[in-house]
Amino acid sequence: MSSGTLLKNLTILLVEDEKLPRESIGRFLATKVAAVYLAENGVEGLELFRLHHPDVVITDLEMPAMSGIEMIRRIRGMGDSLPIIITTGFDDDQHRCDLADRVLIKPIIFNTLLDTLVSCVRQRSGPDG
Amino acid sequence: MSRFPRPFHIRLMLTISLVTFFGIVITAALDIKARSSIFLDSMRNNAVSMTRNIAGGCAHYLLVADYAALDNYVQRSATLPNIKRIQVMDRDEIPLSDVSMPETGSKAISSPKPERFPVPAGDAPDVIREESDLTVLKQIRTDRLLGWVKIRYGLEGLGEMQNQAIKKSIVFSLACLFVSVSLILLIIRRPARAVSKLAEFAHNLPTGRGEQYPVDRFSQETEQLGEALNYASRELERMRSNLMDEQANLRNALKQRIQVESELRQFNVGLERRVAEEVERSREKDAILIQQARFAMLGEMLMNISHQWRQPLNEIGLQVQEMVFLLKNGELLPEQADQYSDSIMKQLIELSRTIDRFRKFNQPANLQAGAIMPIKVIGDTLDLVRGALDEQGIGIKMSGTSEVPINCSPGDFSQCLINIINNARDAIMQKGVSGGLIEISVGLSDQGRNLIRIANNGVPIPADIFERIFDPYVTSKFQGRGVGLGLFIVRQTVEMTMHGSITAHNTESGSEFVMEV
Repeated sequence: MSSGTLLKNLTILLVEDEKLPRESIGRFLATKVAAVYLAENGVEGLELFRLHHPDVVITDLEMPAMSGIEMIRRIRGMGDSLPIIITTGFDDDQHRCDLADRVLIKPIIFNTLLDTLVSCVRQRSGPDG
Repeated sequence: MSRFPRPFHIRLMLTISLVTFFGIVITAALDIKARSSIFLDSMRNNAVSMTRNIAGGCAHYLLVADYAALDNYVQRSATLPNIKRIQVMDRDEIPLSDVSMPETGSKAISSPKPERFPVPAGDAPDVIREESDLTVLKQIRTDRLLGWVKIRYGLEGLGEMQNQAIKKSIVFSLACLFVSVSLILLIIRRPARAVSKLAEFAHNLPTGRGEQYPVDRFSQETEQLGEALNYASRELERMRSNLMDEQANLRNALKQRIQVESELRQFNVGLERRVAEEVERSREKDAILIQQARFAMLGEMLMNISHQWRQPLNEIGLQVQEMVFLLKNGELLPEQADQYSDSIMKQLIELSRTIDRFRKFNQPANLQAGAIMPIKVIGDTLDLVRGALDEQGIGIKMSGTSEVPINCSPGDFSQCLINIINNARDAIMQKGVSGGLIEISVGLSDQGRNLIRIANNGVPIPADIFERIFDPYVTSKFQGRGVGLGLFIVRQTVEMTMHGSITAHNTESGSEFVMEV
């Protein structure tokens, strides 16, 4: 399966507290994937995850109400093994999480984000996926 | 008194001699006077008695009437002792006889022309003393007044007796004087000589080395004095010996002390050199650590900048990519391009302001002249740190106001605030719960100065470092990133630059720093 076809079938949950990045990345991904669900914080992201069961979760870490790490911990706690990508402005050990598949350091480059999505999905699906 | 001889025994001798001499002379004079009085009285009584006898002898009318017999009788009477002249008058005061006794010769001479003499009023004898003569007037009576007789006695014997008495008294007093002086000299000579020798001995006592003087036992006083001086000599020698011992001890002690002082001096020199080296080393270390602290602060500032920059940079990057994406798909409308451009430029301007604030806070203090308004600098500082605090879920809010300026550069004041805020942030992070809050309140103290309170609801200041919280190199576990100089620099700046004070105390919810500047 080509990358374009793979992306077209994906549903993505994007959790970002900053409005402009959330909407900008959301608009871009909406042209590439099947569906994008936008959440402002971990609590809202967890609700949307339970509701839509997306294929991939892209989340920021530092957020009010519930941090990205806490949300990831709870998703993994449900036994779900979907790809999770972290977007953060900090390139240090405090802003990493072993439960996530990848960490993308801001500023986010669209093509890199798409490549990371494809890579993570394929990695989780196995060589046949 | 100064003319008086100084030797005591001579004075004593002179005093006794003079007193003796004058005593004898005065006694002799009194004796002479008494003798003279007795002599005169006896002479007077004798003269009165003799006159009464003569008057009795004349009291025969035949004698008075017979002038020759009368004169003969008077002439015989004149040969009696001490009589110089006898005169007789009848009751009519006619001179009858006048017989004188010459000084040389034993026969009385009758005057051919008797002199008349005044008669006394009463019948009592009239006694008159004239120089060396005694004159007695007496009535001649039987059963009636027959006449008067006047007899003059010579008193030369009295004067002679007085002269002899004076001469004898002088001779006696001189003899007494001589005897007394001799005796005194005899008695005093030996003790006086002993005293002189004792005085010489006493004078030589300091160099006598315990020498003993042979005591003269002639008098008790010289014996006591000699014994006392011998005792003093022995004691002086003993004390001198003790002093010599003490002196030797002191000399040894002094020698030891000089040696110890020399060693101490050498030790001190070494110590001073070591202290100077250590101070220099410590100063260099301090300088390095302070430099490190400043670098740490700079790092904090850069971290704040990076927090402030990262989000806008991400947003700018996303908008640029979105614009390109839309443009490639032919979906970018002109008004959309304007919106993207405005948004991007707005964020670029904010980024530029951040850089300006950062540059202003870090430029040298001498370029930041004049007083500052604390509210303005606090606001600018919060703009710098708010982004980082937001990302860590820590709220920061400010209340109160003040129009009192502070004589300080904005950079120094801002660095103090950032240091305290960073400590507050670390305390909140260590507590590890959400809802972290830093509250800054500005007001005025009783002295009319700015009172700035920075409180946090993190962990309180540990008790073991509470008293030393502003000392250098003091840090707590939650200050792992620092070197313990942040609050030290804050206190230095507040006290030395702003001439204010800073205190810290724990509160019910956390801790609080109070600056009065």
